[in-house]
Amino acid sequence: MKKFIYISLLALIILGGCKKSVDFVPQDKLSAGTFWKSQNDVQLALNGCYGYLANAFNYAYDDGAADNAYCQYPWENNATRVSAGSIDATLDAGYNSRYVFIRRYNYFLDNISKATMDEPLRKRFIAEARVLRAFTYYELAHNFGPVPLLKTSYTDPEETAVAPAPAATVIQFAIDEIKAVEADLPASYSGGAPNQTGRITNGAAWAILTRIQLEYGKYDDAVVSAQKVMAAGYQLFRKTALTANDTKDDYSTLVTFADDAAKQKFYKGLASYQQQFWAANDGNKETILVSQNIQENQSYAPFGNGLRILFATANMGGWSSITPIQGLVDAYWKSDGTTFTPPTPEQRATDFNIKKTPSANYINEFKNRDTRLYASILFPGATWNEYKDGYVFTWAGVAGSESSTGYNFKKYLDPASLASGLEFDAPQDYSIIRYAEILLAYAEAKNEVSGPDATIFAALDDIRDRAGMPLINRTVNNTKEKLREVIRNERRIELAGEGQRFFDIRRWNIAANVMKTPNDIANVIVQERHWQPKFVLMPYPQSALDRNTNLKAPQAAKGY
Amino acid sequence: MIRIRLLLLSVFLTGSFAQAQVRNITGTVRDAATHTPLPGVTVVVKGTTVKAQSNSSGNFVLDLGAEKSPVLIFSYVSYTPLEVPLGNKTHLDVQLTEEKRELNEVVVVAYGTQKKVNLSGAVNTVNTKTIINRPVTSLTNALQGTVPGVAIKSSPGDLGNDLGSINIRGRANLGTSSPLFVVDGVIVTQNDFARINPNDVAAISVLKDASASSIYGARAANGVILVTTKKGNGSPTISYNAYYGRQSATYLPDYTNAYNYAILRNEAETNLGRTPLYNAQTLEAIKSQSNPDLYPNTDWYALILRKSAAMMEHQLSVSGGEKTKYYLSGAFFDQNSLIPGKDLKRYSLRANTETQISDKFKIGSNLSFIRDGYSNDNLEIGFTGIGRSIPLSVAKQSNGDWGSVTAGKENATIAGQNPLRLLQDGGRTNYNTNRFIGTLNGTYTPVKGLDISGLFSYNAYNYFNSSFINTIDPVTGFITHKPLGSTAVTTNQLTEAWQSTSNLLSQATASYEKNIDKNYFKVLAGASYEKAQKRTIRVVRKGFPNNDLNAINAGSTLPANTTAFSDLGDNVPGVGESALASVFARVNYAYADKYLLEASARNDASSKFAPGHRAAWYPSASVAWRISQEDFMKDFTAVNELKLRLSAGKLGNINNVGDYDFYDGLNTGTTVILDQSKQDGVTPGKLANPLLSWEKLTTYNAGLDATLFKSLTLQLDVFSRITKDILLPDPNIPAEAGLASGEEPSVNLGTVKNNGFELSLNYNGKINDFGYSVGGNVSKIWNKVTDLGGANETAPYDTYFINRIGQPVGSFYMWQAEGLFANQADIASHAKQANNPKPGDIKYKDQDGNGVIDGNDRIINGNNVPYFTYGLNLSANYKGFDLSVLSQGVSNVKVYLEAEASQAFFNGAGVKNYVLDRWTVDNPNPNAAYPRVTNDTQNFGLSSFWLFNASYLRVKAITLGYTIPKSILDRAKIKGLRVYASSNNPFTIRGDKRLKDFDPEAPSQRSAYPSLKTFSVGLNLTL
Repeated sequence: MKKFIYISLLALIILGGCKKSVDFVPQDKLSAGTFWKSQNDVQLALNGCYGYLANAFNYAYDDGAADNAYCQYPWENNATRVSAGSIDATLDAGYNSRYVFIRRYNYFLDNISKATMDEPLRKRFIAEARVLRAFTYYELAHNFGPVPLLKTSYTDPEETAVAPAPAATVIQFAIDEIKAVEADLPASYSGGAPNQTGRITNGAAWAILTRIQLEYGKYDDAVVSAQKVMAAGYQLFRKTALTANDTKDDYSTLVTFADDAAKQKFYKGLASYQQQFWAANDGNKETILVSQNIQENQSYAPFGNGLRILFATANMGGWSSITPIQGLVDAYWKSDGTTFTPPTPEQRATDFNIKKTPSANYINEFKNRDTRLYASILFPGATWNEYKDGYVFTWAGVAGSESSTGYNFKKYLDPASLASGLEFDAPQDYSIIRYAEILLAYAEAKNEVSGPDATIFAALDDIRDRAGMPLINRTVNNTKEKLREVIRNERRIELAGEGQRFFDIRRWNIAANVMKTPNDIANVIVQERHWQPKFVLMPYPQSALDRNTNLKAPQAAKGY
Repeated sequence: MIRIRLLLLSVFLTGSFAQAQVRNITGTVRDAATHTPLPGVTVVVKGTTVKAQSNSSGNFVLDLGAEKSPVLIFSYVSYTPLEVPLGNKTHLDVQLTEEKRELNEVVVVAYGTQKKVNLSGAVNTVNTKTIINRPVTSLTNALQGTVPGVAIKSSPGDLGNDLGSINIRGRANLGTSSPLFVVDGVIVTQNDFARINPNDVAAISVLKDASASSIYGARAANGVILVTTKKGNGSPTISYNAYYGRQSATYLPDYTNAYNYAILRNEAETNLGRTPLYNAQTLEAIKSQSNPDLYPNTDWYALILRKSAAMMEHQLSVSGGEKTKYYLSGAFFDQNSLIPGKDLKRYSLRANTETQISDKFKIGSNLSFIRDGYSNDNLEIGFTGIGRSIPLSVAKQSNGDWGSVTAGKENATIAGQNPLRLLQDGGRTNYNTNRFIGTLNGTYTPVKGLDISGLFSYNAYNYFNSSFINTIDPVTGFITHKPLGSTAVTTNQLTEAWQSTSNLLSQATASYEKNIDKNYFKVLAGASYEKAQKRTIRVVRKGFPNNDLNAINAGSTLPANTTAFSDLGDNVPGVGESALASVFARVNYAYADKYLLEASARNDASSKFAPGHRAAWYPSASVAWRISQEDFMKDFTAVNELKLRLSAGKLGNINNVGDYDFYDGLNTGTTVILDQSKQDGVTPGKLANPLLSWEKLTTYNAGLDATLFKSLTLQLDVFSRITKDILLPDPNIPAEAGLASGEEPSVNLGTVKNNGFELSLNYNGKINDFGYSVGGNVSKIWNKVTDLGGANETAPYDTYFINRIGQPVGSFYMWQAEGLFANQADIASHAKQANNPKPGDIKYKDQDGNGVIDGNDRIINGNNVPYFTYGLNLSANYKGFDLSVLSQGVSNVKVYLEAEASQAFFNGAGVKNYVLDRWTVDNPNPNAAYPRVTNDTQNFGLSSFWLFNASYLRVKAITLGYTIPKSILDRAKIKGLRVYASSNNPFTIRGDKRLKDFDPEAPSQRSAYPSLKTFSVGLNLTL
């Protein structure tokens, strides 16, 4: 029995010794309690906030949710269901994913004061984070209308299930935030930590403001904001000297050149517009806010540009996920800058003659058109020798990974990255806001404020000229209403594939007219589309509704 | 040799001293009950080698030699050994009593063994005969259908992922509910357990109630499976067991041929108002197969999968020993996959020893090493990819080039995804795992009844995986004769992943047992400390000069071409440490083997919780009454054994907690590209919960064990298990909190109640030489969520499940499909659905009657957990032949099959034959098996339409064996030889009548490796 006691004692000793040996902390996580000490900590946390700008190429899907394009794979993106008008709470138009970043921003802003660091830099970092937060809230509001407005980090996650703030309040918050901090932001960054290119600049802050103010009809403010950007030294990307590659495609069969100067202008315009989206020209002076991409030599690269797959044709190894629809193709001006009148769909189908070969008449549609059509759209008969010698785009109807509209986007396809067989691994940056948009925003806002004037024409001419197109006709477009139509169409084609059209047709209140069932070249339905007024705003996703009862009434108010 | 010399010596000695010392004793041995003489009884003089055997009349003669006060030991198979001091007698008549096997059957229990009759908790033992000689991939799968209340899901999976999972007595919580596995006293993982060679198993006990398992405290909430591996005894025995079998799929996905695909695809386009894809001419070409280079009829499954794949096992063991007992075993298991090139080899070695060093000191060791893995010259391809390949795509052109044509046109995207090409040319994969478990234990017995034991064990697991993706030349277009650029793979890469885990256990126990008159006491106390560590590294490197290089250092040194991770690509944290410090004690008391009492308690402190919430006590108690031992039962001769058991206790569970869920940590990693390069970032991640604590489970159990007419045994258990403070990722976190999936804090939330019963019946009968037994087991569990922290339900989780008060765990929550829209008028009169329905689309029930189908119309539509399971086991033997049939069934369970598994054309996939019974304009059947076909998703919303019946009754195993008669074997000096043929999963009766091409044991998923059936032949040889 004595021994039994010894053993019991031994057991107790072992146990006593073990009390401390059940203390472990993770070796791959930073302790929140000891973080926020140094400038480096803050820099790392701010990089976490910048994650919002990664993979912005997904904005291209928004064109497919509008009348510019069609997204043929409903299992790939919501855009297919949105454009079809099959919209309910079972889809999430980016609600949950955006609040992930709201959490990061608030966590950052509530803790940055704890670190020991350079004060001006702290101020700048705060400004960067607040602009990112404002931009995110703006994007939430223009998708969903009223949304919960969380401005500080939380301790109990249940606290976040608050009632949505009216969209106007959210938008005013975003505007006020940007205005409060824009002065703390530099005009540009020199590179290297903590001044890497791609961070929010003063110009980016004003550009975001311009976009918000334009979208919410604050035209006076938008004019002012746009002017700030216009004075900041940005300029449209222009290629001043042509290389042999730039003239590899012979456009003389499509475009009638008056003289060699006109030809030069055309080719320069084509190269300038098209190549601003190529990796070789990343960081050109037109970019204001950009989502940087790199090549990672792997499929489904987390930081590659996915349009290499989503826009490209089957024979380029792409999926033709997002393809232009006839309405967009028709929207491109004639080469003289006037409106193109398309043939009837029936006539086009006859000319195209899908079962056999297109008649000579078919290609007339693409003769003497806006340079940007040739730079942006692959249409049957289009050549692209720079991608591959002898390449001709053809279309013979729906087939695996081929376009289901008859067209593919050429814009954003970089021949350099098309050579790779790797999916989602293109290195070209994707513009979130580029200078052309600001010029267009200025033109639109100024025209709404005071009608046509020289500054508006100058802004529009800059865009037209860069694309090798003639200047805006001052005499014809002499009223606010006439010029408005020109600006809207100019905006549609200049920014095609950049995700703006989705919100444009909503703010212009033209969605009911344009969200019509599109047909392909052979005049066959591409997708049956239904429009209801409530589609102006997206529903809160069911997963959010299930966890925040405060969303139920606003959801019903939105008509869902 | 030594023995022979001794024998010679003894002959010599006997010869020399015979004159003086001879003392013969004679006697007779009889059966105590029948008084018939017993032949062949061994009589040994204790402490000597002097022995004799009784003859056919039960008589024996023994030369006692020089022994002064000899004690004779009588032993006979299945009789209780008897020791008789001889005194001065020269003649001895003895009676031996036949052992009642049930009475002396010893059962392995926590930290020791116990006589089965003395058990007061709910413990089931597994008949080890039913788990050997079956062509199954794991010990887990071998257990299927053998124990009531133990549900084993043999989910299909490719090599190494087909080991099955175990659940005891229903889902007590809302997360994983795997039991605790204890092998030779050491806690091991489910994967370690699954890989134990069934031939090495001496005994398996399943501890089901609190009384039996609560001494394992914190981890025993879902029951405990105790395994004891074999030990040797006596003269060396060599045994060899081997089988060879062929595996084939139970069900293969049933895809349509090219012609039906084309017809349906045309119809899908027409249904969307578009023109058909294939004209009459093309359809004719597809039907006649006149030009398979353009319009093929490719059966991808037939091309890629082998019809059958071999598997075999060889196991050799040597065992024996007197003072040092040993069991050495080596096994080789080889299993081919239906996917060519994959050939899993598993090597297992086991060495168990036990040495009686002195009267008081015994030491033992258990060493086991298991290595398995395969080396595959082919690239690992996913079943989703095969499911997405359509019959109109060419796999290989007639000129020998890889397929480039789909439905008459070259298609680079599809050609690039050709699974056959990727399989054969795409790369290679190797993996292997090494599992070492070494245990040393010693027992010191200073006085009779007191055992002081120490145990030290080290469990090391190493995982290695290497996979190489080749650069591949582009496919040459069959029509254009030009290479299709994007089909080339331009960058090769090598991924190497290593994981190393270790588990250290040190444990000390002391037990003391004593009989005082009719009272029996046993006390056990102990302490243990366990520490687990895990490290993982995965490195991906690209840009190797050619595809033959196979080491990380041979790749491109550019920083962009190397990435490193600390998970295995599954997002499961690969780095961690945890520890558990415990003390425990148990008391047993029995009075006259009639009234039994047991009580135990354990305290565990776990590193997985914050200080202050780490430790908890788990007590339990049980009583049993052996009614059959009472005097008043004497006249009921039909009742051989009758025992009533009652138990209650508390258990814990920490299975569903991460190592550091209490810790407020931040994530690191690349978050964005700035300056055209990757930027490290820090982000807030999973929310910490410092208040996190144990999941607590209270169990009540009442049981009845009976043996009637000596041949019918019955075990009935009725139980109630209440789990409180259930651990789960908080399902109620608002979306606005901005937590990505997996970042929800773990919380203690809710209560789940499982009431149920388990019944097993076994009848052994014998008609002359024909012996048979019929066994059945049935288990039913009523599972219900009874509390959710005050709320009536939590928000739906994992897409389609919900927890709601009063409903069982695993409830499917979705719209209820009520057939298909018959016509436009039907749509107009029905509640509004957002998918712009057309006739032939799925109609959802408007539960709240508000005229709109929305989130409020979701209801619970059945369950995915089998709460009713049953098994039927038959066995028979006649002379040398033996036959056994093992079957298992579950009912009332559903499975959600979506995407490629059931939905036509999903993401470019083919279409299954059941879709042919679809709704069409010509046959607008509102109850058709499939809605109108489209190449769109308007019918793919979460609804009960995609729930399929997963009930089944399956014959798990049939075995027919023949034991070669002893008379023949004796001539060859062979102790035993049996040959057998066996089949695993030969027949299935299934509940689903619609889709029919999925295995009912498969989980809700997309395309996956098929479940297998096996036919094998084998032999058992003992030397």
